[in-house]
Amino acid sequence: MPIEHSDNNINLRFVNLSKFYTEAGREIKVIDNLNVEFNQGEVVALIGKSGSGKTTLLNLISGIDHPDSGEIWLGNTLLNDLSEEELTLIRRNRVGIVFQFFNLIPTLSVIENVSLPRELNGSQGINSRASAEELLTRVGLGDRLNSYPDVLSGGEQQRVAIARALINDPDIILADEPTGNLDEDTAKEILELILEVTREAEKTLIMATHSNEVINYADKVYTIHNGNLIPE
Amino acid sequence: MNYPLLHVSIGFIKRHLLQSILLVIGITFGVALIVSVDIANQSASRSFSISKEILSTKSTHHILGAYSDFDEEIYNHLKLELGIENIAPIVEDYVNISNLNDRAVRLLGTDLFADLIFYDTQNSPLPNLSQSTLSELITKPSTALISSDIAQSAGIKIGDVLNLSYGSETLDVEVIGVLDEQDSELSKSLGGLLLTDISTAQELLGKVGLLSQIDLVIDEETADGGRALQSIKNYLPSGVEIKRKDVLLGSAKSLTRSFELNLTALSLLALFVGVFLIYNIVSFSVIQRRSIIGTLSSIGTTHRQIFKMIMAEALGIGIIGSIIGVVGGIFLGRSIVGLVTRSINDLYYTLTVTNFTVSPETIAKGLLAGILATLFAAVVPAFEASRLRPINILRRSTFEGFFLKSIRLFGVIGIIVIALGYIVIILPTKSLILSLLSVFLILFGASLLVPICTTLLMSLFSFLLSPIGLISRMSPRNVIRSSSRTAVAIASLTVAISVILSVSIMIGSFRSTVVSWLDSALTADVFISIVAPNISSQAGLNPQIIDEVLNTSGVGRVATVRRVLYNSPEYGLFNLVAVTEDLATENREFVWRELDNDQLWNQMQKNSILISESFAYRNNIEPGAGTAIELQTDEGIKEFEVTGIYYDYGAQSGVLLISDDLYRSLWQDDKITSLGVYVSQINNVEKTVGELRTSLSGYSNLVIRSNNNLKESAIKTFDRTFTVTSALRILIAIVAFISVLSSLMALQLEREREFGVYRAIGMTISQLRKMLFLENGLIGLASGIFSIPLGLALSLILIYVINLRSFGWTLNFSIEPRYFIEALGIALVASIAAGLYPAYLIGKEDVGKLIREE
Repeated sequence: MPIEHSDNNINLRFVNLSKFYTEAGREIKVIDNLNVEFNQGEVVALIGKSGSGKTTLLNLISGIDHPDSGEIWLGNTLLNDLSEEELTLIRRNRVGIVFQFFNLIPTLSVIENVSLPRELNGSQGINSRASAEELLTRVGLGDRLNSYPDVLSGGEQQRVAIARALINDPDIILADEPTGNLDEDTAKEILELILEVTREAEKTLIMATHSNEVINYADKVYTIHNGNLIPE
Repeated sequence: MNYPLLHVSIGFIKRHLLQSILLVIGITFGVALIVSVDIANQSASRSFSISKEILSTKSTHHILGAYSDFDEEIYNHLKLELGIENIAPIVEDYVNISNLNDRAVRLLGTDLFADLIFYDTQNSPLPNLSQSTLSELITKPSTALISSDIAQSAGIKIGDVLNLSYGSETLDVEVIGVLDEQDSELSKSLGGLLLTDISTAQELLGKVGLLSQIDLVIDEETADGGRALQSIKNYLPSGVEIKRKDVLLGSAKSLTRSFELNLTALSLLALFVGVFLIYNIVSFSVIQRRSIIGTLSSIGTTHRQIFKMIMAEALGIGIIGSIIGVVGGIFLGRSIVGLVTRSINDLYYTLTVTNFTVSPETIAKGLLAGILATLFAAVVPAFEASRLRPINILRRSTFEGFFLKSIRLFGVIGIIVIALGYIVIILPTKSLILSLLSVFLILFGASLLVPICTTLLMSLFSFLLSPIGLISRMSPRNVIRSSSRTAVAIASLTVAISVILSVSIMIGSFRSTVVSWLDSALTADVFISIVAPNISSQAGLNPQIIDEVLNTSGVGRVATVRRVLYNSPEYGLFNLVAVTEDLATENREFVWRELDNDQLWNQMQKNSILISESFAYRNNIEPGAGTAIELQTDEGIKEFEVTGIYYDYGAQSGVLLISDDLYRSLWQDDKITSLGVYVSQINNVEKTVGELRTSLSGYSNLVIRSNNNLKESAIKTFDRTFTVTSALRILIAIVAFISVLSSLMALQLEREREFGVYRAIGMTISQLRKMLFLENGLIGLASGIFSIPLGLALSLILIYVINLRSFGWTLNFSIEPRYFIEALGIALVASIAAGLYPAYLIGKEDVGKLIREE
């Protein structure tokens, strides 16, 4: 099972990556022959109009979606060769995802939401709880461990989602419009938090966003236009 | 509904065809069961009417003896002295054809030249038969016409000889014609019939000089008719009465009414379970398009218009489902008719005609039931759709939140409805319909209690499962969180399983009661009886057989039983059973008795009788000394003191047990219906059976059976009686299964995005399936757990209320662990099996599509 972490400094690599959609019989290029590399610990911002392909690219990286041609390398692992089951394990262990709408499990408490990916690995509840508690304290929710998502504010829910994304110590964090559903002040707080924790953990962060503020924090900024990544 | 909204509805249905198909299936099943049971009941009823209307379909009155045949001089007097026209003599009973495996047929002897016969058909009663055949029937002894259905099924041709037997009597008759009429009504009425001249029938049935019945046409409304009726009444001797045909038919049919009503109730239960299914799917369709409804609401569509749109959709689908259900019910009815007819043959009277009747009323009933059930089930979701504000319609959690807040209210209403059901049960009435209403109230109340009970049970499971792991903890919580869906699935499964469980307990209790009763009632070692064509046959053996039995090697002593069907104006139809000794003796169990066994039997030699529980129940006879019953005997009206009421499960019409000496002294009847033989050496029963078969080989139509053999045969008949019930139980389980399947499918569609998130954060498909498997298992387990107390409560009502009111029988409540294991097993298998397909679909979905934001 290819879940070993890469020693190589290049954390993510696209080789001739393409993705098409067919709409009303017409082929639309969402990703067109991309060749890009991202290094360990880099913060990458993807900007672009709605429908430009930001989410598609993140889905390709996480194995949620599949390329039509080209390769995606996560460290030394070629994602194209992996089965659905293996891709799921990649998502669980090597990729952390933060969604725009938080996507917490409403039937689980805050600490349970965070420890879920760890427990999916068969980890004992007590170990995963300790890690989850540590992360939640780190994101400022040490006092809300047993609360349920429905009583949390949007910003608090996104903090939980960030902690969940980090629980299995992934190689890469994918954040899809993580502040898109938050007010301005909360968005700034969350943005700072997500950058802080990923830099602390030396994770590669790839963030799809509309926010211009992200540009100031990112190591690399790409605009997606007509299926291409155009560096800023 | 305006056109754009109609267009929205049609578009939605087209895009979610599977849901609509499931909805149609739910309605179809419910309606099909109602229609098929109604067809079976009506066909059996019609079969009975047709059987009784042979040749003289237009007769309005019958003259009958209270308990036996009467002198044919009465007919002559009415015709010749009183000048009564349109009158026909009848001699009839059921006989066996020995050379056709003792097939039972109705032998009917009549005067084919009687006025009434010609009155019916203008020219000839049997237009297809030549005048020469009719003349031969009248002039040539031992000739018969046979109905075409018997002729065809047994391959009988003109000229064949049939060996007929009736009690000790045997007679060979030659078939000289086949009753094959074009007229469909006439043709039906001739089914299962052997028609002879009256003298032939009298000879075979040992009724020379006697008649079974006289048919008449009298218009009571006219002055002449009124006078004629009065003159007949004035003339008829004691013990012979004239009765309106419809009253007589009603009285006999009332015997089967409870049997039929119970079947109808079971079919309505199936529809009740179907209502859950409809509710599930309609409410799901509302939630599924909450964004459409939100948009419609935002642009000014009124609450009323949204309500009408949902209801119109339900109505359309309800009509389609009901129509298919009616067609399916007609096909299903064909199978059930045979089962119901056979049960009626076993329990009540012989139906030689198996009629298949589909009346417009049945079709209307099915359509109406299906459409009303659909509208009833749809009204709540339609109302919810119309009341939700646009901002809330967009949120799935709003509905669940609303549902979770309402579960306490549902619980309170549920308790009130159950209490109401209980009050209906304890009302001082014998009404069966009220008893069945109480069952429905209790089921409905229990359904309303299911959501709150589910929440409590799942919280407990969550606590118990928490040490195992997070996924195990999640499953019960997920069941609670989707209560609007899971609680309805659990309720429908609970109702279905509780009905299955209660019917199993009832049948099991009934069976164990009957087994124990057979043990106590059948004490003789060997039983000898005639091949009885049916339980109401008056056929009997000549008493000289007693000596032949006693002279057989191995026979110790003999007791005799004479059973006749008695029709009394005060007590209706019942069995008068005369015994030379009480075969049950100490083993007989009494509801009440005035004296101990020895005294009881001594008293019965004088002037007292015992009555069965069902006889007492039907005639409101309370236990206690001083009760007397008056019966018409050949010695005039006699009064009998009731000294005991005993448990008997042999005849629903009730039994009046009298000592043989007393019976023979009051009735001129020397026949014997059966003999109980006690062997001289107990280990020689089978050998004695063999000896008896040899020594009685001259009797062609005797059945000689050991005690065990007879008991086995009785239990087989019992089991056969419940074949229909068992079949309906299975169909109810199928409806419940579809209901749960639709719930789980709906739930899966609703939770697609949630599943997408699970998979996005690293839950494998197999882990997801395990979680769903556990959830579905919990749904099944909860249904099984809830169905146990509900099923027990229902079984108590079935046994102590409905069964008593239906048949007048008290059963011993008997439960076996396997009933509960079965209930839990069926619930688990149904819910897990219903979850297999949704779980399979999960693996097919694209995660990206699943988590796409709305």
